[in-house]
Amino acid sequence: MTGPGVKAAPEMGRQRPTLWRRLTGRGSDRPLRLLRSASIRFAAVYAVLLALSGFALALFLWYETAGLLDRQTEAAIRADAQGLSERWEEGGLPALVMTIDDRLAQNVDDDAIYLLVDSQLRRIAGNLQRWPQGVTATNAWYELPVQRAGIRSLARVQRFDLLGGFHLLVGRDVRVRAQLRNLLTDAMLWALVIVVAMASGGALVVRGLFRRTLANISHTSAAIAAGDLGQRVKLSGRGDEFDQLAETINDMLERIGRLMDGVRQVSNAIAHDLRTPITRARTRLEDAALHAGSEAELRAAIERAIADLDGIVAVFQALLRITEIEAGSRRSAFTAFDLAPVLADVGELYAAVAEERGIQVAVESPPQLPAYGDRELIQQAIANLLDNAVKFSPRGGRVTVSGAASGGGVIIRVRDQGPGIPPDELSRAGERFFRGEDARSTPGSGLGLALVQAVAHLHGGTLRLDDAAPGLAAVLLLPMAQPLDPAGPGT
Amino acid sequence: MNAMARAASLALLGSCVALGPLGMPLVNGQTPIEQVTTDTPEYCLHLLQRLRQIEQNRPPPKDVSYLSDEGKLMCDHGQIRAGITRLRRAMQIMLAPTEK
Repeated sequence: MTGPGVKAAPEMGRQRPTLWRRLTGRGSDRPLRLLRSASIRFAAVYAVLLALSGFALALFLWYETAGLLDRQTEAAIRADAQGLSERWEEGGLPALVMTIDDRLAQNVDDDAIYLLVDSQLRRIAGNLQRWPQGVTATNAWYELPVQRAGIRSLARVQRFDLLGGFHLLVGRDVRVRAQLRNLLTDAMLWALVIVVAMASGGALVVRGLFRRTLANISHTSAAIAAGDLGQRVKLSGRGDEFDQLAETINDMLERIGRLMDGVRQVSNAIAHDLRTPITRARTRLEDAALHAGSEAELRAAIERAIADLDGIVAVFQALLRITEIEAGSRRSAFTAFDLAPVLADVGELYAAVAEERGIQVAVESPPQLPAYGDRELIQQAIANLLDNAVKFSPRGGRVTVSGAASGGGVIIRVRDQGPGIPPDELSRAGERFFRGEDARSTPGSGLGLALVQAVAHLHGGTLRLDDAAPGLAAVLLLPMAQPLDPAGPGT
Repeated sequence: MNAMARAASLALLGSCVALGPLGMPLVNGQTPIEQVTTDTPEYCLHLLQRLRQIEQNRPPPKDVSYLSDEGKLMCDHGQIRAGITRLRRAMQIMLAPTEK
């Protein structure tokens, strides 16, 4: 129990903020969210690339300025040592001593360092008082602090060993060059700091631009996700990549809208077209249950209801088949075959039905018509076209089924002498459940041409409906997707 | 100031602190400092003596006399390095190979 004079322990949720929290000013998940942000990543990439570019440029400039000074100094020392070595070989110790003395006497720049000592490190010639302690290795560069007239300076020296135990030190006073190098290095480093600062600032600008550009798409997507399908991404008019992206998204939204309209239309069509046979079946069954006088009447009513329900099942099967065809899963069944016997078989099948109605069915096909695809589906599609043609042809009419090779594929044409399809309905004739005004009284589900169109699309082909004046000409164009086996079709 | 601006400022400050010392001149306090002997009055005198020796064999041009006199005067007045520079120029002229 906490009394008035007792201090309560601090609550867990009110702990002191961590350093990162204080830096970012946000909660613990904020850093992770920042890292996940694409705008932050783009900005970071921009900053890193800019900083790396600045660093590479500074490195190059440093190499070409301060580095050049160092290389020049080293080259001068090597050349100097080479000359002294030649003098040593020509005249021995006296010549070397004389040369060192001459070079020092003519060293107007006052930057030369020489020291010649014997094996006991006793000074023989040169301008250093004694052999420096740290200079022990040959062919190594040393930075040596020296004092000239009371002023501290820096020398770059190299040691050379001579025959007889003599040692030679050759170097240059690099104080001025070192100062220049340091100035250059300072300038480069500060330039780098400025580049880093500019990169950071630029990264923030890039992030802001990125977020502003994406905000348009994000808002539109959010509105669509909320159900407002009429929203579209606004174009800036600049025609840049973001405008191209916006156009692509808008095209996608248009297509999605059309597909959803199609789904809605099909749903409505299913509900509308199936309600009638289901209601009819129900009414028949109810009527039979209430009024059937005998078992025979009851059985007949049930059989009629079964026939109605079979029609509904057939509609669903046709829908499922179209969906299966559109999914493209049947492509694995594609094979090369001869289309001529297929046309003949279908023509023969429908000739019998047509004959009962006084309609003549003629098949026009070459002896062999090589094709490639799903034989069963193509046969189904031709049957559907022929079924429609026979159904809508007047008594005494003629239906022609013809097949021909064309370019890289085959053309199947089914022509009738029926009423045809009005021009304003031609474009919709391939839609599911579409039935023209003149076809309402004719039996059918409105799925026949939709299936033919699906088969055509599956094979990469097209279905075209032309006014044959009189009648309708349905043209199914199927391209040859693969070359045929030389052994012959159907093998 | 938002979080990004604060983080950027800290990064900039860190860069300055980290990179600043790299631009400083190198200082090596461990190695003993070696004395250069060609900046001393003794060396000035040595150069004058050598010039006199050379002048005995060959009469000096006017420039050499002027430079050696000026160098001697400067060395006498404590301007050792400037005096040595003039004497070295005089020596350069005297030791330069003569054109035939």
